[in-house]
Amino acid sequence: MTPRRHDNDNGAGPGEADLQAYVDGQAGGRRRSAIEAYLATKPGEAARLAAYRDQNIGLHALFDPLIKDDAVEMPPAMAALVSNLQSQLDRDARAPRPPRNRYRCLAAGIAVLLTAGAAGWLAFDHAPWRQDPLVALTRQASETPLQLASSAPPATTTATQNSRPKVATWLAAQPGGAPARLPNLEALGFERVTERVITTAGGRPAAQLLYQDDSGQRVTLYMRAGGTAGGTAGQITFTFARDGESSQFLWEDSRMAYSLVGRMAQDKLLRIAEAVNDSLGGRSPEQAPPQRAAPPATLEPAIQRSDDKAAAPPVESAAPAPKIDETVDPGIESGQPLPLSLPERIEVPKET
Amino acid sequence: MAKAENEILEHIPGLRRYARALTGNSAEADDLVQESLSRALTRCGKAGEIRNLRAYLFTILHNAHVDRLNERKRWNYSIPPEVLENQLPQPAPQHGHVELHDLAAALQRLPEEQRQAVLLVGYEGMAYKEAANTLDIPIGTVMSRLSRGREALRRMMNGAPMADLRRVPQQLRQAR
Repeated sequence: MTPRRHDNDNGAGPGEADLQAYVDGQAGGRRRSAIEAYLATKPGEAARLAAYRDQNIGLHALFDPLIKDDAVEMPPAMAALVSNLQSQLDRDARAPRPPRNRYRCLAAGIAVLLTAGAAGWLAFDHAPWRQDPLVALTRQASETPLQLASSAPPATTTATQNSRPKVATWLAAQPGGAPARLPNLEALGFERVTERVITTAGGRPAAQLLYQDDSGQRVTLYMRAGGTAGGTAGQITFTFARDGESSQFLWEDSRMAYSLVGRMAQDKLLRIAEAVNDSLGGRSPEQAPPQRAAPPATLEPAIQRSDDKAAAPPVESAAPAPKIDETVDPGIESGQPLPLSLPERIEVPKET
Repeated sequence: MAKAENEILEHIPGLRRYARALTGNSAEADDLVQESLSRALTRCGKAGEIRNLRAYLFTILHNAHVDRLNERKRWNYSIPPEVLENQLPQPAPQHGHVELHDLAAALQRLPEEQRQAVLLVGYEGMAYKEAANTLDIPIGTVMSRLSRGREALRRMMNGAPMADLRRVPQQLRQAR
């Protein structure tokens, strides 16, 4: 059952259906926060759900490697059937059909990028969790690399000085707090290639960081304002979702929400997600203290009010929040001058 | 523009992957996929009515699978050794991650209907509604099978006694 989105989250804890939906990334944002708050008080339940999530990961580890071989050796009989069926479908498709919804354009575009995995994307048409702001954010995960593919520099060119401060500026301006440094994944062989502030499908700004390793494998990290509402006692829970061939891990800390997307084995992506979390100063569930002072972050923080100092970032190296106009070109590399210079410690992450 | 959505070829890897996870046998899986395509071909008069090609194909595959189960009355589900061997060179999973052998063995012992739910949702990443459509069962049934299947897997992997988890394929309900 899909979570009821308008629950006040009063009274009883989440039901079993909600917990399952949480495992599958099909729980909506508000419900997810309630579930995480609940899990923070129920370590046994948290362990049970973590085991379920690990099952999902294990299934992919078991069966995913086979299909790559299959892709190149479809039996001739099957290929013939596919061809026949396709021509029948095509004949049928000549008849005009009304456009189903606006996601079709998107889906069609993505299909260019994804190969066999396009099927998973189309499932979004019916997925309740597309409503989740965090997931809505990740829906761009496949879309934006498409743009990057045409505009991003090759792997040998690391993030330019021109683009680097943008994300740092934006992060520093987050009223709910933000990590002081961008995640460093060099220990895992991933180098940051591109970064920028984009506008999510929900119309809200988010940071997009693209990392690439020597083999050309890429992961994209999204960060947006609005961490766990009310604070979830320091528990970081990685929620796994799959979208065609793209795997995603979603999580939140007290400051921001994160989404890591990559086309790779789930185990590997999870390791990267954990490294990102560590690099951001997050804590793993094992190390989580029972309570953690979390700023009053809501799911819809007033991120436009960048001069809101009432909720100063709880980051130890918090810089004074610079005033920037979020409405000015949040997503496009327009070459506009930066609104202001930044404290050096933020502008130049020390990993480079 | 909507063309890509209707590319059968896009769905083939997913179908084969699911069939393989479902049957535990690659030859059987490809045979099942081919039978499904043949079935789709004969029904294609209604192709204009297909709203979601992926769900449509998975439904046909599921029905073909269930039909086979009913014909044979028993199903020898096994994970072929090469599947497991493929995993051996991989790095050991980090803390608390599943042992793949245990998972494969547990999956093998799971009742068919629970295995379907676990695979469609947990492996194929289907939304519950789509899985319900594919299996032609109410969404609540998907949820309960999923919940029971996952808990059974977890207990099996923890070495708990599994007296109540013998395979009972004959209890499969024909999904129509």
